[in-house]
Amino acid sequence: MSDLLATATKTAASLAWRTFQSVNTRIPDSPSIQPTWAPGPLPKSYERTKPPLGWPRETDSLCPRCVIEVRDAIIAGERDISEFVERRAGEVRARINEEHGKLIIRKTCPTHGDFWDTLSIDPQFSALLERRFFGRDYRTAADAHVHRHGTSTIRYGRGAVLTIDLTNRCNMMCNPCFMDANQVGYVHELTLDDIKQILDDSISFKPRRQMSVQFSGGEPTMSPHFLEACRYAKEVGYYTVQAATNGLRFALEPEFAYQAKEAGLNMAYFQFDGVTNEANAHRQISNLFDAKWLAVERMHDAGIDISPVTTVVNTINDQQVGPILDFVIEHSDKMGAVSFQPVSFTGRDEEISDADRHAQRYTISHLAHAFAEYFDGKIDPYRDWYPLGAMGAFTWLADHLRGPDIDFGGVSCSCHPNCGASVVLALNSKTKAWGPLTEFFNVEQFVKDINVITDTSRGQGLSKAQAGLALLRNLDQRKMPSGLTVKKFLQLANRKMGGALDEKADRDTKEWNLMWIGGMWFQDLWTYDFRRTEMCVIPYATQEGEISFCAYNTGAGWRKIVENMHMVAKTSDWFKDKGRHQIYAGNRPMDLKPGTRALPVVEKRQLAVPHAGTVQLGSGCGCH
Amino acid sequence: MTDTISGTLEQRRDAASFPFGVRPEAAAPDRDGRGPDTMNRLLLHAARYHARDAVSLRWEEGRTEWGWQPMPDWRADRYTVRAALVLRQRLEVADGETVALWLPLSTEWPIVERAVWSIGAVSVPVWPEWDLERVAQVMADAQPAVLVAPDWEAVRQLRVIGGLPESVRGIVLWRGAPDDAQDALPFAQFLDYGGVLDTAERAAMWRTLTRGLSPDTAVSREYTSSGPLQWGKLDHRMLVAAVERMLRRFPAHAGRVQVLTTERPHPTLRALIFAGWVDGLTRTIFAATSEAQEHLEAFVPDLVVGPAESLGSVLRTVQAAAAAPEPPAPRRGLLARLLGVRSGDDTAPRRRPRAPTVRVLLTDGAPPALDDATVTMQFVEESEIDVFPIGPGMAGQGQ
Repeated sequence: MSDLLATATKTAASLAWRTFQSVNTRIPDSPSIQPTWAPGPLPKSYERTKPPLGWPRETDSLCPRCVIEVRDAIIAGERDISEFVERRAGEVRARINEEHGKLIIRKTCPTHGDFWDTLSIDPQFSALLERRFFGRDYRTAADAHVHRHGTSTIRYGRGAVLTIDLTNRCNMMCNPCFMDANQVGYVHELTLDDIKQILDDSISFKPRRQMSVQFSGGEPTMSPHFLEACRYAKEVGYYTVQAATNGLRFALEPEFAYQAKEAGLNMAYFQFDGVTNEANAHRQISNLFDAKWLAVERMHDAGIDISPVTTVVNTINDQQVGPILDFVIEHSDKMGAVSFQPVSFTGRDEEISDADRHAQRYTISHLAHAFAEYFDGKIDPYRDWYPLGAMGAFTWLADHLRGPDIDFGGVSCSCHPNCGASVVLALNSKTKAWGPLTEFFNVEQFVKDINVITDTSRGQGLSKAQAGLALLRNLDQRKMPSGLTVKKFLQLANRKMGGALDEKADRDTKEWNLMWIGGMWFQDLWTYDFRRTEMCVIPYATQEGEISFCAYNTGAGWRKIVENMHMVAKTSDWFKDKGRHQIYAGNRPMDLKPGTRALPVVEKRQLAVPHAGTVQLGSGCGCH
Repeated sequence: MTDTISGTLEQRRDAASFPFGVRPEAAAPDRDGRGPDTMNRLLLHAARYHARDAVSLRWEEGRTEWGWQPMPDWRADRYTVRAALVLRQRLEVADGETVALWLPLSTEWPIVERAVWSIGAVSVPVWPEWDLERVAQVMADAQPAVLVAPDWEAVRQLRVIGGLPESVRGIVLWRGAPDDAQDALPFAQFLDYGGVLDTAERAAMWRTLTRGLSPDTAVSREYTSSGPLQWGKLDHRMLVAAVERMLRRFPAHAGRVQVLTTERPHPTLRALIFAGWVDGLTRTIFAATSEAQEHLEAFVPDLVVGPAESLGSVLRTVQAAAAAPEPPAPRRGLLARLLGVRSGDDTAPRRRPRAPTVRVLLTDGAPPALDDATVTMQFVEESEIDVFPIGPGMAGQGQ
């Protein structure tokens, strides 16, 4: 009977959709609205651009040896920074092609010879991801004061995660780590004015979209301005603030999670290497997992979402990805997402031998097949994986539905399809029933339907009605996880779009969630592709403007240049003047004092004073 | 002592005498299970359980606009930790040493005062209205280790008349930082410097130290304003009792607002401020009397404290604001809802009128005849809080 009802609902919705479209598509498209946050009218589907995709293809890349030489010379003061900004130092052409069932990138430097590396072990999987790419975001406008880094400049979109390194100080001593002041010999730490200027600049050009502001480091909670920075990010207008943290401060200081939550911290992007103390032993603290779990519980009690992040290295911890996802599903009441980052050979690893690099190389395609194997095909590489940018379709729909008079567009994770991919699970945090969203919802067709809705642009009321029909006609209720109903699914979809379908609907239903499982593959000198850099969605916001994550950390290596330009003290002078902070290392245990709390922190509310109201916007991508 | 408490948030909101009535597990033995017995323990708990957007507000120019600047609980708490760490670790203030607080009653006052007594030191309030000779007398008697002064000019003048004792090892300036003030720490740097010290380990050390102090430890020396120099000791037990009485006299509820329009750090007012910190629901607003009338309309406070001579017109404004009818909600037609059209005022906050119930006038004279709800500070002092009488007749322990 229920199957009959499900079929009837789907058929009725499909019939209504086709009937409506038989008229709708015969009427000329209405002009798109131009929101105040955007540099132009919302583009139609046929107006959106894409980078060169498919293979064989050529692109701009880097010579792994030239770049290091130029960077070192700049830091030593022997060469000018304009080598990177204006003279394309270290750049070579690269060719991407399929060879022996793999996707390979090859390049030749006139000085240092040939280089090659693997981009994918499954070209069919990679082709599918590229086919599912939704299109670029707007080209940025009036951003010369923020984006001014030559060929490393970000040229498209606003990004999804604005990363701000508050300090390079850290309370751990991982090896290797080139962020920590103890190892690089200098302190690079932003003042509160620096932080405010960076955040002010971040909304000074278009498109002005919502982003997750991620405070990073070092250990960001070591900064004396961490809490104030969280508060100011909210004040500027961003609705999601996260910290890339090791969690030690949350474990050591019972009140800190509550203070951070009250200051505006929404999520901890949580360093997570394994589910036992032994699996974390390389971090030099003998009870590190205990400390991390205490931090998880305290952050969860305070209402801070937790998203563990694991770097995956082939032959080292590639067997852990399945168990870690299992662990996250088991603790889905505390963790709403998980990010796997295939290794990027940077820092000291730039000196890795070719043999080791080829052996340890891990790609998104490795990850997709590892899940398929671990979960006996329940997560299907070809059905369930979508590029991160595919979720941009939801953002465009939400932007369209919200109309022109809002300050920020929705989060648009419109990165290059080679940068990352994700699976979304519908998951019940109580019963642990779960299934991939794409098992029961035809995302590919839904994205096409969204294009029809946004292209014809018939006003908010009719667009919402069409969106509802599109959701229903692409939903196969018979394949939904046990306990998930149509009503709950529509609530989830509405929550995913930040309430764009129904602002007054309850978006706090915690039982069912859409869990994002991401694979984010940052570039390194061997896999570098400037077409990816110019679409970066994880800009590093610094005193020298916003720089692509990969250009900052792994490509040209702007991190070392910026930090050397703006260091505040030699580490020894800092310690002498301001005191030495505690560092947990030497395989000794931390002194943990577990405690429990009974009351939740109360969400920050609008003051009863004449302040401007804020509008919550939805996340299009779900990552971070 | 355990850190857990029981009860739902709604139960806690309804508990007028929080925290004394609903936290048996947090009770100290010598209070018959009624609650913490030192201000440090009380505030450590209270800072973690609250339901408001700001513990205090003040009107000032922000980075991007003029407006009410909120001091949320987390910031007040962190600033306290930082101020305490600077006092203890940089200025090396020891148990029992005094710290002179010569600054007007403001959002910073409770932070600095709490930082002082959280490390076992004793605050010495120096009222801004005192003349320099009185300040010099107090300084000579109290021999403070640290002076928190209103500005560098005040310090300079005090030096000129020989009123700055050699015991002063550090000076913190509440306002400004002239170039020649090399031995003084501007207030922003005071907290920023503390921020560098504020690691998880040092914060934990501070909490341990703070919790360990005895209820008999002195909190402050309260000097007389005029006449022969006398002072009375206020200890944790007495201040906790005062806070408890304040909570009973002025019960907390969600959204409660109290407004202070005086800069005089009267001990009763300080107890009132800390009661607001502790109840987890009250917002304390520091507004100069000249600005109060303009701004109080937005808040419709439950409690207004200020000098009688200037408060009458303010209270009338508040009453008028409370009596004004609520503006009607904008209506939206079916078509507008279907098409998603919103009126311009749709999201504008609508004020919730609430008649002020209690006003406290800081005066020794007869209160102006406003209404029956008006009470005087004299009433509060003599009838409600008799634990630290101030004036010539008090039981002075000084010279």
